[in-house]
Amino acid sequence: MFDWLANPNRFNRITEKIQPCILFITIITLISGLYFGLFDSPKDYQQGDAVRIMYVHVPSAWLASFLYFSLAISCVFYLVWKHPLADLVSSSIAPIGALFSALTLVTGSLWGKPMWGTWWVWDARLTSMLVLFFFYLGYILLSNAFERKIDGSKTASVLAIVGLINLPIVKFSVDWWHTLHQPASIIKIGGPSIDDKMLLPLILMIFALSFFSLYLIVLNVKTKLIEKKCEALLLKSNLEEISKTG
Amino acid sequence: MSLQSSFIQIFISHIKREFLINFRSLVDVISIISFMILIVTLFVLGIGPFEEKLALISNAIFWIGLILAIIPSLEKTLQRDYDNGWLDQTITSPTPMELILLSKSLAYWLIVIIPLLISLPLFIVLLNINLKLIPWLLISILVGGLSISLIGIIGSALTLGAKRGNILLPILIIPLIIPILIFGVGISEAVRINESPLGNLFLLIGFTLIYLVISPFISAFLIRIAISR
Amino acid sequence: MLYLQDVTINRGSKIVFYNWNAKIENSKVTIISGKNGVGKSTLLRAIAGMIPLEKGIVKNYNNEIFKDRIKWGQNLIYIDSKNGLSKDLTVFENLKTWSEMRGWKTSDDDLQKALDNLEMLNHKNLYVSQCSEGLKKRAALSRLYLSFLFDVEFWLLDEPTNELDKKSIILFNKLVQRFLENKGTVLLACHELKLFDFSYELLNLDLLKK
Repeated sequence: MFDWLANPNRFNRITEKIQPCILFITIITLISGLYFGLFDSPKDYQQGDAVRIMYVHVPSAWLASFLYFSLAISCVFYLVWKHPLADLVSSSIAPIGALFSALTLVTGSLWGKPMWGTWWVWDARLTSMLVLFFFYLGYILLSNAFERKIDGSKTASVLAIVGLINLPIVKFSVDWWHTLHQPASIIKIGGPSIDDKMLLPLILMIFALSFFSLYLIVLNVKTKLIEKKCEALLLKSNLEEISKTG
Repeated sequence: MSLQSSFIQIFISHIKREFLINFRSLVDVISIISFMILIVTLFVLGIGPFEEKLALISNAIFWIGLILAIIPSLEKTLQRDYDNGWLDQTITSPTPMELILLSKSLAYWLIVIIPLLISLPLFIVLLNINLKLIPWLLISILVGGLSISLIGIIGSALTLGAKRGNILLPILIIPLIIPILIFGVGISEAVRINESPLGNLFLLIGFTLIYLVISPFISAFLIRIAISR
Repeated sequence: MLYLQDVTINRGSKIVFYNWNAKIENSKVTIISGKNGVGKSTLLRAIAGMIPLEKGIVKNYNNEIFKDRIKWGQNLIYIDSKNGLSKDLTVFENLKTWSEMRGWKTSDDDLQKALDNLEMLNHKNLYVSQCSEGLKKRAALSRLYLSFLFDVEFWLLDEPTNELDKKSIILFNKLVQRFLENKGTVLLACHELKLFDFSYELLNLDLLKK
């Protein structure tokens, strides 16, 4: 199935049709999610309105992890089946994933200030998210660190896969570390229980951000395909010139 | 006259070669010990010499010093062997690349661990380490040092031929090494507060075993890509 | 006899060889010549097994050489401008560790004979970092003598004589002659052909690749 999708023209034709749908779904879910989250859901008895940051923070966190998983899978496709489109997808996912992990950190910090009085706290989730951010950063830096792009793609793909193996271990070890050093658990982010009324906007926001990422990824891949086409045309015209004069 | 050595003999000869290059004289041993002492000194100067503070932090200082001792020299040696064509030559060896890289990891582990173990009494004194910690400290640096070496070789293989590879390497490696630091320090912390360190120890051993298996394959894959450039 | 059948080799996005066919005769020296960048080194490295073939096969008589990469690697010695020498080891130690890496049990005597062939015996305890480029090349080429003790059929040499003085080239020629008498095959990439005193086949990539 993926081979069939790999043909750039076919890819462009299909995405041409579904892109507006994706954008539509994104806007609908974003608006409704924000409405329910910001207006229609209850205030937290302790945190007041500040808890509403959760509606951006939690989906971002989930998405950052999910996107990394997708990144690693895409890299597997690239290394094992040598799918050229897979590499474009990987390099499109990476900055978006990095963005969402950064967003998680920033919203976590903004959320934490009214709660704990400090802009940052080394709790398990934020610390793991910081490490995940560096996993993304490492991938992006490594893929651009080589003379030939293909070398960068291959080595960064290996890094992403190693990262995927390590990520659950890192998350576990950071959780472990946190419980070692703070036996008394403080207020957990997310509240002791999730009200039904909180669940709806949360799910809406997860969908909204996911579809938004999908939209961006598709846009990114299309742009890179156009870039590649330009490069190929440029190469062809150079070769033609050389054979005329040479 | 076709005398061939066994895989084990070739494996050992690779380790001997690393020792010959990096561990030839007493100077090499002393350099590693001095480096660790200086790192410890830096931390203490930054933190303050108070006994209570030191007791809390000495474990972490030790592990960070270990990481800083192993990773850069491992990276340099792999880069050198790549640049001078030695890795090219190993394609013609009867042993697979995976075994060769495993021998490199083990060699580096030994090169750093042996001086450290010799000078352990010195560190016990400098950091005022509690005597009941010592057997656990020994086990944990033996096991942890091995996994640092195994991850270090993957990182070095990733950055072979990369631009500004020496700055990139820490960014890539440190996230991967975090579990080692956490479990390793966790062992000493557990002993210090009179709890069982076995949980952390088994986690550290498990982590090391995983990398013992996957590190040679991943780094061999990367090096073959690097050679074909 | 090496047969290259429909060989395609890429370096990144550049196609260096496309559906290329060639034959390399055994017990002979084949010199690969051509302009800089035409693909001499690429060809040698591909036959050595360092660069994968995009398409095509290479056969040694009837055996595909890359079916058993390790066995093929054991059958050749590859030396290029990088030499594969560690600058922190002496000339002798380099040769010793190299032959141990190949899995060959050699006595110190054998190694000294190898060094003597290129008159490196006097320099055997010099660290490679102290050697001139010419000495380094001779240190690397000393490995070739070990072909006579172990079954090596192919020498793949990339510009072996660039750094050598006239006297060393004569010694090198002698080694090549002896190897040919022992039914060895030499594949050599080179610019300067004047100083060789052995007969050779010419594989001119400038002409043959079009």
